[in-house]
Amino acid sequence: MRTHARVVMAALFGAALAAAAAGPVFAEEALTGAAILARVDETMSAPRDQVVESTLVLIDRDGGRKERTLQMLQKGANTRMVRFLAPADQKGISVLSLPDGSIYLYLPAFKKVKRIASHVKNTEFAGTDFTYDDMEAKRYSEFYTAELVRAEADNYIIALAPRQAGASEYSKLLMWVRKDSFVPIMVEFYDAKGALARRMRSERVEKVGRYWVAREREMENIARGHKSRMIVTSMKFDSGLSDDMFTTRALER
Amino acid sequence: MRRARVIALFASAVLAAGGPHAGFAQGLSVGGFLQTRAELPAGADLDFSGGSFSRMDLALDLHGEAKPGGNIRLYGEALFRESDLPVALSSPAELSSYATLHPMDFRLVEAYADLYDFLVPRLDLRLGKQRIAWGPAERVGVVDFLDPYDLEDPWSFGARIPSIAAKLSMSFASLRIEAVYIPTFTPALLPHDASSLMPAPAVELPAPDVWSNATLASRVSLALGTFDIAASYLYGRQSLPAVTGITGFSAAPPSVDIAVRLQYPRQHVAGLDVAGDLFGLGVWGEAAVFWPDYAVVTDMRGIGGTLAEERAAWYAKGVLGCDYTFPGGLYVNMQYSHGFFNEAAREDLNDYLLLGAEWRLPGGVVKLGPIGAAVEVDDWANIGNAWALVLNPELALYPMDNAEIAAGARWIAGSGSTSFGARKEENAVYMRVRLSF
Repeated sequence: MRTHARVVMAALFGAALAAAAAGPVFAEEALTGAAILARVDETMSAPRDQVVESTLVLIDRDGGRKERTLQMLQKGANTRMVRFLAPADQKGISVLSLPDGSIYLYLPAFKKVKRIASHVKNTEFAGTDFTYDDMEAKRYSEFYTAELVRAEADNYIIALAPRQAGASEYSKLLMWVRKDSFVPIMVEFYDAKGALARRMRSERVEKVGRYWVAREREMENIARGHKSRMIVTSMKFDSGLSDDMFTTRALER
Repeated sequence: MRRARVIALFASAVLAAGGPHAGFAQGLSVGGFLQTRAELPAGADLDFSGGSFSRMDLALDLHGEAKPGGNIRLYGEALFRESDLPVALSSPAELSSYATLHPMDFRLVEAYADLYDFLVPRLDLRLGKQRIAWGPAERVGVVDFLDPYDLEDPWSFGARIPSIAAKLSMSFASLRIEAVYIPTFTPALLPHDASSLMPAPAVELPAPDVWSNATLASRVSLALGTFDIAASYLYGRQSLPAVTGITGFSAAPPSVDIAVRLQYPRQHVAGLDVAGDLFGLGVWGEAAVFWPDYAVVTDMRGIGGTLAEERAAWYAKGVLGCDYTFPGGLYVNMQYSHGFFNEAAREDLNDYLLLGAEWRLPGGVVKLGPIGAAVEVDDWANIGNAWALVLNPELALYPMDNAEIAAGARWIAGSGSTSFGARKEENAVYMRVRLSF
């Protein structure tokens, strides 16, 4: 099963990337790539739960734009529900990802919950640049090893390699991680031939309550010249989402 | 008049909502679509010279949803459809009738209330007209046996008409138990040409008492690793009629007449279905065993024959399917089906192979497909004379959000003795435009 994109949405849809404000500050020289990646995972999964609404703007090569509105509910690091709120022809399409890797899709037109097999996970989700796999909430460390490439004034740059050979369609990820917050501000995805395939950028990184948040994120498909920009419109943390909200029963509601 | 009132009431209620989060109830939203379809028949010889449409209609779908409380959800959907085909007039007076010149069809597609955590936590009740879709197979499912078939367009053979029902669902982690009660029997909606295919039958609907009409069903489903498994059971009636009586008589000797009696017999059905992931491949399977509760009475005493009664035997249907998405986005889907929706006796069950492919170009503006292909084999020993093939390529454009423009064709080949081959006259090209709101 390809895992390349599992972690992407952890950064994208999990726009409320969080880090305990009072967390310990590691000395730069003490941090290995693996330690930095572990801090990134901690940052991303810091809230017990989160509810985030976003506008997703799809921008094609010629500048044409389409908009989608999404709601994302996440509990812990690996349980997530994403629901389309607009446009009308996609409203109600929902995806549930569970800790065991299962993904369920609900299409209102068919009144049916469908389990998604892993072959679908790397395909576009409802016309966006994101894949079904992207809808899953995952930790980078589960799927990648990391090495520190270099440290800049404000960022660490680490190289991620798939833990399992052939498990990802990407041979390597390069990640720029902010030193103050451990929010990844840019991730580059390199294909099997070593060419840059996708680039994700985070913007407007700021602290909301106890957590660091990237209010805007952009994923660019280099070959297609197509971008998907996600703009957070509202967010709520630690509101006590119950496990019942992450079931196939809830998917149909 | 009554229908017009219903339409007006529904339209007023939906339109009064005014859009998302408007109106009396928090979470009230409305939507729908406007769709026009046109179909040009080509006949068995692919001859378009006739030039007249076999279908041209405009449909307006309106649906509304309200969540007046945390544990209550109301949903309603109605479809208004006007046909614009030329009409045959029986008298000049009909030229003054709007209803004759513009025949309109109204359907209350669904209208139900969801009561969540009804009586006890995790118990949900859905009450009203609802689609109850069971099983993972697409269009040819054999455990999707609750709602009657909608065969108005026989090429949409997966379509169903939602049932007025009460459905209870209880969930415990990955286990789900459903129980369904449908108080009123509703037969399948048959194609417009169905009556011409029947030998002047006498069709009997069930007696209008509660028990004769009722359908009971249940389903237990469980997620096990990368698979979902479910078992289901139904006690109800076939939504397609079965021949239960054949009587030979002679009204004007020496000619012989045959009278056929059609009924909607009761049946027990037990189903099993599974869906999951096998080495990255999406796989699913469905099996159902049917125990029809009727006998065919053949009475030829009127023409010097005998009286015979033969009880209908049990039979089983099944579907196996898989799908895969190749790099580049090409999606393919394959299903093998033993027994089709209209086959309800062991000796009638044929084999079908359904193939589908779909490729949405990057960006999602153009979609090639679904390219459907169906192969039917009625008799493997005589396959040369008992096969049929249907091809159904389609191209869809999505020039902007909420807009779809699709064009396709249907081409049928094979033996006229097969289900598909018998409809070779229905080769056609079609176009569909849908705008959602």
